[in-house]
Amino acid sequence: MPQVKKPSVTIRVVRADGGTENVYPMKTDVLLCGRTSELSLPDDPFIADVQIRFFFSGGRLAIEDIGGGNGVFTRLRQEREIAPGSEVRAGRQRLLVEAIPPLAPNADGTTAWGSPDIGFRFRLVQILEGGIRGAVFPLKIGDNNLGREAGDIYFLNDGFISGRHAVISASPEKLTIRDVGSSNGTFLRLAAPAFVENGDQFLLGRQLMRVDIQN
Amino acid sequence: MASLLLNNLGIICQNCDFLNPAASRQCLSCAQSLPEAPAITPPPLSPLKATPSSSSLQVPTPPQAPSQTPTQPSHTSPPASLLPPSPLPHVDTPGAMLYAATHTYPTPPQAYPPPQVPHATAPTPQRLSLLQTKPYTLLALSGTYRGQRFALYQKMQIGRTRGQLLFSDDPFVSPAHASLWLYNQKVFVRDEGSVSGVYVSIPNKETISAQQKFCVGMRLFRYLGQLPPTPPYIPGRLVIHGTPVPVDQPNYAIEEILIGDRPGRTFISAGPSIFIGSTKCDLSYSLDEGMAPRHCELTLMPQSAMLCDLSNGLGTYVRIAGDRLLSPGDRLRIGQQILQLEAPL
Repeated sequence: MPQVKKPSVTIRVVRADGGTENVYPMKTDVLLCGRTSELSLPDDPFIADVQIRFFFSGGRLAIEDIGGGNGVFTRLRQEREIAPGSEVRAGRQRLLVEAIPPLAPNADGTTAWGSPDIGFRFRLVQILEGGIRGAVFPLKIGDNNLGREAGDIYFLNDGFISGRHAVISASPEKLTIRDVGSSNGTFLRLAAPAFVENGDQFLLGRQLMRVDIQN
Repeated sequence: MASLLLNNLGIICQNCDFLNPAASRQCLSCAQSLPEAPAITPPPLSPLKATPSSSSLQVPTPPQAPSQTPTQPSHTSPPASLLPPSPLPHVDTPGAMLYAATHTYPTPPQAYPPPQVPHATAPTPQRLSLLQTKPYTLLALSGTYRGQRFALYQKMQIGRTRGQLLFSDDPFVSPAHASLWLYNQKVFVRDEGSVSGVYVSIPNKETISAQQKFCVGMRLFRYLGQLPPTPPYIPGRLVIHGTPVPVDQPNYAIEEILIGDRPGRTFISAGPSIFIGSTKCDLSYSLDEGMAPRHCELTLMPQSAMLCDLSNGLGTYVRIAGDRLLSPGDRLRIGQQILQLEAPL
């Protein structure tokens, strides 16, 4: 059986203050990353002791979240489908996708009066530090613009969000998200092991990682 | 003319002064025979149209009283407590309610259903003092009977299928939704366990508690109070990541409730107040016609908030939990219906 040639992998950890990157060449087939792992990030309280695992699968580099907790987020390169339970990070915001239950009258046929529903099926819940639920944004059918100063979902005080950052498109059946040229990117939480392409970026805790792959 | 009057006026018993419905042959209070009136035809049950000459409330004929088992009237003794009378029997017609319109309003979309109530379930006739013939009225400002007035004597139940004031076309009104009653010449209202709740306009300012609902225009909100503080950092322990919150800065939340009691938008603010309106407010709803540009202000406190109405008459409403005293001019929101209490003329 022929030996599969593995590419050369380098992981760069970008400092939040824009300082010098820390470079970690991947010397073995498996690389663990966390607060107390081989690729050590000891000062970040948002990262588990062992958070992620880089490994090769059929000659291709893959990544897996094994620490749970705050998870690992991958930067969007193209439009992706999201669903209730998905998590998005943009700027300093962590946003959880939830479903809005369909309208159902009570047993006596009465419907509770409330604000008009223009067809909301999903909503974004802002998660505050410590896990507290913050602001909530219902998503209307069609495009929902996410940005810093205007749009359907905006965060006035977040300087890391671009004026026009991302668009979430909702239909009764599904949701999709795409980045619309933001400076700092839009990240989607990894739900399962995934292959890594050259230049992919990952966010874990406060750390941003970029993976360079050279064949 | 005399027969016409006899057909439309109640008959006062000469023995006990009880006011009996028109065309009664026997006093409902003391069973004394009453002067016989000419045969009458049932009055129309659609709300009375205003006539140019009507300068005061007209009183249409109430439904004919039971002739076999007269109900004992309550006489003039007031109730022992503020509690309303026991719930009325199932009534499909607003027969116990006297209503009239004193102004010209558009024809309501749906008139009352025809009277099909057997005598046995007809509402109890009310003992009316001659000095009390001018009742409080409820003016429908919007909804099914917009523009019409409904007289309130001793008690009134409001519901979709049970009571004297029925809103059968409003899916937000519970079968038995609310009760209004008079005690010491004052009007009280109670939510009878409705799904949508009963909302009362606030006169100017009112303190609301955390989790209490209030409505503005066509929007329903719930004040959530102060958010829990960020858990303290413990070295070595994983901290749940999220949007950073300034330390020692309290945050307060208002949640919008969608139809069906489903969660909608939640707005977070560090205070000290939140403005709701149609333009340039913290929560702006430009398409809501019932909302003033700056409709209300919520001054935030940890376990409560001061709700201040700035709407110049459009009204800001709070959901009531128990019995509530109403004053003339107060408004009720019941489902899609808005009713205003008016003092006796």
